[in-house]
Amino acid sequence: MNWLVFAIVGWVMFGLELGMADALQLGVSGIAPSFVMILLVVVAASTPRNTAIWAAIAIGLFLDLTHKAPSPAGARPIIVIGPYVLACLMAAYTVLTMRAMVFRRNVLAMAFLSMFGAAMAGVVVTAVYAVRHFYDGQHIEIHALPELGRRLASAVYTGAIAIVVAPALQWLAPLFGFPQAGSRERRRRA
Amino acid sequence: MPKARISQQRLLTLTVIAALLLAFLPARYTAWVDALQGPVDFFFAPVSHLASYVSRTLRPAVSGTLPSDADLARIAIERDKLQTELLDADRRIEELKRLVRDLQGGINLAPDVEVRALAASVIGASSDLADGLLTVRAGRDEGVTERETVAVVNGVHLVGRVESVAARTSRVRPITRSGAGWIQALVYIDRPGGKAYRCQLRGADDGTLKGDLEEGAQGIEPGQEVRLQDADWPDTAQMLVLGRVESVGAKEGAPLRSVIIVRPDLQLERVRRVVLRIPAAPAGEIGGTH
Repeated sequence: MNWLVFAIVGWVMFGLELGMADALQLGVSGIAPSFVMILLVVVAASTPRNTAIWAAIAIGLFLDLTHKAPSPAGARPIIVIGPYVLACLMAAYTVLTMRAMVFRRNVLAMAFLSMFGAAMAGVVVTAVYAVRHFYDGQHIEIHALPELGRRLASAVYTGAIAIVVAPALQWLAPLFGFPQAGSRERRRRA
Repeated sequence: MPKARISQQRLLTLTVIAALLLAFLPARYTAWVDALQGPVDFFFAPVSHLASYVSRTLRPAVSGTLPSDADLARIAIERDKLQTELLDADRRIEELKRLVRDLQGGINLAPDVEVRALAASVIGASSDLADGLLTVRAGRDEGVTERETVAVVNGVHLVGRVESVAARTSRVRPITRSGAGWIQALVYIDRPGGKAYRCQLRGADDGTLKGDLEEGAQGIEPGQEVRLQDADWPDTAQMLVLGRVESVGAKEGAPLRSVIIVRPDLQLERVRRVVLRIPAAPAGEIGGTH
């Protein structure tokens, strides 16, 4: 994979996520799509295992750095490195496991993978914060069940948005340097 | 070649272990991470600002009270500003009276705080909308201070308090978020400056604030103005408008107490630009000349 293209596209996706997510949220529910999760799913579905995992770590790290942990009222919100790294690793692992079972060029398959990947990531982030809430309650406070519900609903929304975004990212596949689907087949025929 | 693969595998394992450790380390050991917020915000600011500008232009904050005509709206904003200044002046007179009394009694209190206004664009939200933090383009370099600086729109409508500050950006938590905590406020019955009742409000995470009215409060009706008056909030926020009463009803399980719902005049999460009210350092303090 061309890491420079990945960095540029990632930068744009993060910009969309930070700048537009609140405009796309459903009412004031906090349910919003994740653009970077779609990028992660497209990369994980199209690259070798190690590349996918490093991409997941990079995306997770920047998600951690752009996100404040849920804090109790009146407490100064803090940044925690780790929850989103682990969440993105879980999402990438989910896609790596499932990608053999789906037709990657199918838009609905990518939407399904995005939804499933985002859901797994949501479960991991909620779990990490919920565990920390027990021993670090003065800095982190989370109501796990509503939070999990919101994240799962956001995962469904991410899947819906992936119907539009994933094909656009796949269109950039030659720039990313993804191995082209069917190339082995063509080589064999040749 | 196999050696390189093994080392990459090892590196990957170490990275995952590091992420696990950092994820579960108590906050007191990872305070240094906050220093990275500034550079990261700066890195994403150009593209997130553009996306935010487009989205907030397409879906701007809608005011429930301002006239749609631009000139009338400007006059209304000016009127609200003057009204707020008047109320704040009244409050300060009361404070000064108290100060005089205290000084006469030999107790020295802190000098009054002056306010500096700084316009700042909203360049994005946190990547997780649950916390509701807005990122604004002004930070420590512009004199923004944590928890002492508040953000307003239309001159007097309180958006929220600055919760964390980086070099060039800050995070503001809107008052409609439960994380903003309890806020003491006054509900004005007829006109600002007139008869008022106390209430205690907290963000309900649905664009409103909910809370309890003081016992014996009468004549509270939808549309009445609610303003902040809370010793836990900085002077820069006193008497700013929180919103208007949306509904009042009996509290469940305590019929003698009333529950009040207050809705800000604007959708606070959708504002494109805010004005930061920064406390200017008192005259005479080193480096504190504004």
